[in-house]
Amino acid sequence: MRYIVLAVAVVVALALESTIFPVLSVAGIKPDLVLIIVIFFALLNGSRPGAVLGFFGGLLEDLLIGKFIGINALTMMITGLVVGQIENKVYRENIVVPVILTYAGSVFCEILFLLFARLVGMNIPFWGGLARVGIPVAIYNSCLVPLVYGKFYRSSTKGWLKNRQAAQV
Amino acid sequence: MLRFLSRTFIIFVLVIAATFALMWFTAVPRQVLAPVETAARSVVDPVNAGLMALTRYARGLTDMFVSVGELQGEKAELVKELGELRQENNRLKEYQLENIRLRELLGFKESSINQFNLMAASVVGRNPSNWHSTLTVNRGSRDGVKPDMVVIVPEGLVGRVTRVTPHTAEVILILDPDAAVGGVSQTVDQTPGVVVGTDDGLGYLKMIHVPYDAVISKGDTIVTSGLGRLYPRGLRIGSVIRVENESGGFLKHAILKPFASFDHLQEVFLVTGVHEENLPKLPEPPKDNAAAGANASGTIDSGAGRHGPTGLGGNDQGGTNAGTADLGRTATTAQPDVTPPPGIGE
Repeated sequence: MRYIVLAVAVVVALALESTIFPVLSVAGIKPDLVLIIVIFFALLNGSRPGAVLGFFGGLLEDLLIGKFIGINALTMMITGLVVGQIENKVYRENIVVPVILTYAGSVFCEILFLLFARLVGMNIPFWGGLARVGIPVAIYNSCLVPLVYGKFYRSSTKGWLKNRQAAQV
Repeated sequence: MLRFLSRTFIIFVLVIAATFALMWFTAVPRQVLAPVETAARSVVDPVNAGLMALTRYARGLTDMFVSVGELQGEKAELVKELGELRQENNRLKEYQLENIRLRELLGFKESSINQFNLMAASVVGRNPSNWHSTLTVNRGSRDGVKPDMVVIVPEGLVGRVTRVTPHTAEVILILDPDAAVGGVSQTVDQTPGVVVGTDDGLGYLKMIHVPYDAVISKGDTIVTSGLGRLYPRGLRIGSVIRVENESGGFLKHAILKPFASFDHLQEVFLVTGVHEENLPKLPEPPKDNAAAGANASGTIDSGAGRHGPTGLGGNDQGGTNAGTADLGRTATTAQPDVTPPPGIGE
């Protein structure tokens, strides 16, 4: 059940990024909603689920973009892996935690993206790209956290996103 | 009986007879006055003149008093009419402006019908990534859309089609750093260059490969040069907002503000066919244009042709005659004495 919900959430996120958020862009920057979902999921469920969601979510985004397919799959997978390490080490009910984590996770993901982009031949300057796109995306992402985290958290603990196989801690 | 014909009576009769004779003689209009008449007139006429002047003056005074009321009424009416005419004039001006606007929107297709076959399409989505500038339109291969079709709006060039599905097509915008358009300034100097997108998200374009001594200045309009196989010539790209020198000293680049407004694209036109002969002709360049500045040429495989300033109106350097550039040619001849600068996407 939770996988269906996650899949729907990712698809909706991509649709929003293609239609509504270009209008809501700030200085030409849109948030990366798929990344937010991956970070939330990794925070609440651990490294492996986070990495898997990151991979497939990123892959779907890559398929829509059409160029350098796989780059988002890789970067989001690694980000999910790293964020998932924090799963049980922080107090997840406090909203500040996911805000900071989203910011840090987004910066991390964008840095990874810029590194991989260089490798595959995209012509993006590293520091320029980080300053003009990477950091603003991270800021925009973390601004959206208070709006969506609550619902995500409740759904993860009590609702559709709940992990029914995990032992209750 | 003769006693009754008194002297008075005779005189009386004579006078009457003379008068009748005078009357009879002067019954016919005459050109010349008799001296007696002249004398009489010369006495009476001045008096007449004086009296006439007096009469006119008096009449003027009375007229003035009489007409003030009339004039006020007339003025009120005229003011009212003026107000109404002004309002109507404003309304007509508004209609005129609206006419012009609507003509621009609708008539663009008509006015371009001599140059292009256009297909209207709606934008249904944009690229979800922050790193790419593309959009999706609602026309696909089923509607006859093919890759590399040029996409425009009345204000200027938007981009070209990259991928096509049966019902949609993806359009790469000229803002995308990977998109390149051969451009030329719409001035006497016809400075050529390649227009690429900048990656700073602010929506400007950069015209690169401009020789350091080429003439290009703020305010110049840049249009497509038609060199290269993809974009027909004469499509407006943007206007120069500043020119910057590049380190190395050979080249400079210009920052352009695009004419098309990319933030609010909703309706675009796909160019499905080009009538070459009706495209605007670029003015003849000065004859030594081909020799001026560094000549950079080569091919780009990212789609748009990169071209050298081999003279747009006729070439005496022996290179490709790009002046009457039909879309089937790319300027591929390298000028042997200059090495091309590092290309984009390499």
